[in-house]
Amino acid sequence: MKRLKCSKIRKLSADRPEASVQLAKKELNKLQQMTSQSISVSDEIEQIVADLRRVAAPSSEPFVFTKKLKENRELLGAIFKDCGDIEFRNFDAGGKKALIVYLEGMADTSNLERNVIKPLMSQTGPDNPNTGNLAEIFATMKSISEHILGASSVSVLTKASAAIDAVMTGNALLLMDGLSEGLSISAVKYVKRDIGEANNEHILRGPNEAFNEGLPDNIVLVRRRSRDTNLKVQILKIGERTKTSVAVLYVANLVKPGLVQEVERRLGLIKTDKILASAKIEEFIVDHPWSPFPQLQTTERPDKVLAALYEGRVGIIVDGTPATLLVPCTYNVMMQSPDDYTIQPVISSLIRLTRNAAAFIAIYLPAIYVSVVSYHPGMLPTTMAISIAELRARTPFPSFLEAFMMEVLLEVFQEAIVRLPLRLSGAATMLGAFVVGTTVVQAGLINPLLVVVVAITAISSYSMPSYPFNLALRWLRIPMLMLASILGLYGVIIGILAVTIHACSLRSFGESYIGGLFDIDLLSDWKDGIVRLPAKLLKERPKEFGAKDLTRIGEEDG
Amino acid sequence: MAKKKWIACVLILFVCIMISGCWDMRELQDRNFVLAVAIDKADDVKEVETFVQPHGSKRYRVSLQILKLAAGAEQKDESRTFIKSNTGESMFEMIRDMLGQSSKSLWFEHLQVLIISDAVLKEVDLGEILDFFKRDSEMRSRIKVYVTSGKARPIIEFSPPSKEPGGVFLANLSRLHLKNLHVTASRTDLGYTVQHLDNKSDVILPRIEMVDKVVKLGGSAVFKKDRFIGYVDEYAVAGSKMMLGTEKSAVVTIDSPKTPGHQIVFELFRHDTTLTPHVENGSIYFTDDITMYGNIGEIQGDINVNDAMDPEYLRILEVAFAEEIKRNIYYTEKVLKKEMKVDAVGRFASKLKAHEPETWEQVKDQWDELYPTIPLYVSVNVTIRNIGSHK
Repeated sequence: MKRLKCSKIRKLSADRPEASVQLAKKELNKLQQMTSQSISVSDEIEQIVADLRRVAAPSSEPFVFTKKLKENRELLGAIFKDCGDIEFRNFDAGGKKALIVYLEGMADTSNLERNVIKPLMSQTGPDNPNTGNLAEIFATMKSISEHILGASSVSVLTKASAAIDAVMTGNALLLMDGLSEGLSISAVKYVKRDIGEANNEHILRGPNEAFNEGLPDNIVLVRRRSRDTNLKVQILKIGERTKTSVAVLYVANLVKPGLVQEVERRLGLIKTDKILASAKIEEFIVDHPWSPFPQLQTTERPDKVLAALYEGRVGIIVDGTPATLLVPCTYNVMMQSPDDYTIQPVISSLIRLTRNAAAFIAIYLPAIYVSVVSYHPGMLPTTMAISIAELRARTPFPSFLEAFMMEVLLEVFQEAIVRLPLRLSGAATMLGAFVVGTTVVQAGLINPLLVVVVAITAISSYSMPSYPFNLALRWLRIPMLMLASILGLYGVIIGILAVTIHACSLRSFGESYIGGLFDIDLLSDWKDGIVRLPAKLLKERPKEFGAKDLTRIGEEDG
Repeated sequence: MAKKKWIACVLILFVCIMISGCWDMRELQDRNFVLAVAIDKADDVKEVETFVQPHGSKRYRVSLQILKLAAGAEQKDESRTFIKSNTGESMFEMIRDMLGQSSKSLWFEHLQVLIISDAVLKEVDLGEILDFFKRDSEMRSRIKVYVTSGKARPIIEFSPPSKEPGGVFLANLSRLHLKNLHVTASRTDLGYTVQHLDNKSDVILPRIEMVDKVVKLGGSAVFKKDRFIGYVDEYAVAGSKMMLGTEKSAVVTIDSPKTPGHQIVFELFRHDTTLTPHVENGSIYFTDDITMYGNIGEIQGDINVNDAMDPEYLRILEVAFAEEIKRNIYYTEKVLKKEMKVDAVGRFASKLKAHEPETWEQVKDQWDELYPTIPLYVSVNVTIRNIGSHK
């Protein structure tokens, strides 16, 4: 190509040296240096400011309350700087200045007005019975709370950190001039979901209340179902920044000795800044985080929690999550639904057997299909082999690829239907039915039998009572498929062995995950395992969880 | 370091699986289902079909019936199978050479039937023909082996009107042998036959014939050890089945005692047969105790005369049926034992071996000479349970 020569056109920098790239780069470097310098300067300034702000206080405390309300207010103001939703309410109580600090929207203002502010302000009124000994009453926070306030739950706080904590949980903090302590008044009232129906674990007969996101409500839902003083609730705080409340529930005279301590030990070891869902706690406290199997039972049903507590297990309710954790958890527990106890024992036994068969099918059926079709067709009855061969005569792909494509398609559909807005998921379902049911087969990409196999597999995994377990089955399907496609039935058997060995070696808080199914020592547990006997015969608690008192019915059961 | 070891282990495992895996993977639709094999004498050697042998002669023509894989669609007036054949001496070599006529591998795991023409059996022993089929790992023990007096190939060319694949149809012909006295099919499939050959017992095989698009099982081919010696008719087969109790149900006809020239039929539904060897002061004899229960199945002739409601007449009929069964068994004994000198599938020998092991040890070397002289005493007891009529 001929190069154009044009004397008129030159570089801009030749004309105007200040527009050259080098110059611009230099300037940019200078600018970057200046910004970094300014950042370091600002850091230093921040440091100095913090030093100036610092008051004599122990290292664990942000500050110490003084007797002067003005100073206290300034100290608090520094802590709550830029928190627009913090309210400072100044008023006059019995001739003293008082201050109430609370979070807007978290504290019940009408309650505060009625039971705190109004009684305090009326102390100077002419018709007040306390007028004579006001000074005495106002000497300590304790006496104020005892004589004047109408709030039900109050506590005297001397430490600043506790006071800040109280404000942040939605309590109101009362400070008075001349007193170096605060009073936390519990009047929490924030916006939350009502108690609704169990969406994910709906059952046909029996209670259908489900947990919501509020910890107190959830504890109440469990409490309300049992008037047992042995049902204990211990509340811990987890998360360096969020300080989420976590309640550990257990029945003191049933739970296996040491289990609660172990749960609390593991909870105490959690190092994280935030807890948004109970699943995070689950991942921190399980024994084998790499296993696909869920090792804690999660439920949104209070009745399930209570049933577990009375088997000697421990519940962990996390603030802000309806999904409650139950430990220890075994395969047996995963395969049971509250509905099993609301229908006739014979029927529920049949359903449980079906469920176990479905769990097997959900993992191994596609693998068995692939191995039989591409390695051992001699194992099929002749007529069946012939009909399968005729179905597969048009399909261009090897059976493994076919099954793998179908699996991918299935996963994509499931994911799409879960993620889509409700109004669109119907369309996705229809599309799936069209694509899989007819078009793929008619296009000759996939044979109808495989569609049947995959559909049976999917339906089997949907029949699991626990969603995480269904996910585990879905995940295990893929390696099994690989094994089957590489080694045939030999591979499938290796896979079955591997999965079984893995499930047997899993421990959930000391209990074997699947070993209870084969342990002859736990013979009495088999009555409520793969089958369910009538309630009259279920006299013992599961031995597996090591409850202190094994008899459910009898004289000695308090 | 530990991590490296871990990764190395996984890699080794992965490589092993990847290298050794898939070695015998072949999709179902990429296999040619061989459903039936026919073995004839090679009388017309076609140039293209066959191959050059370094030694031996073109002794057999082996024909394979192979399934057509049509994707689901029903074919009209067309067989579901096709035939490939080859000539030579070694079965294995012929079948391998037939891969030259086939786009997919020939696969014998669903082989149903093996049909042998007696023209071959007159020249070659059965063991020699079955040798390949018993050695090959793809063959199943439950393959049916039939013998035909005509050519075997037309039988596997026959396409059944029921649209079943031919091999499946032919194998299922003997499926109801427990109800049909005329078919010898108990312990006559490939597995049992090979076992009898290995035990040096006499073999019998079902006989299959085809005339003008009619294929039928009936009677049996009899072998002295594994040498073909002839056929026995359906009546003898029925007798042998009743003698050994290998039937579950049967139909026995007699000439009516009161209206001669008409038949009365007994339908057997339960029997209790014990064939017992006895040894008394050095001589061996067998007793065959048969107890039968059944119904009156059919009465030809005047039913007012042949009154099934009459208990006394029923007794007469029971005796007559018992006589007929006894006659049938003695006929079988005459044909098989006295004339052919054949202990069919070694039943008598195995009974003696089981019940009288010491005696068996003494006589087993002369068993073939001794057997035709051993007497058999049959006692039959018939009870008629239902008569199927009312007043």
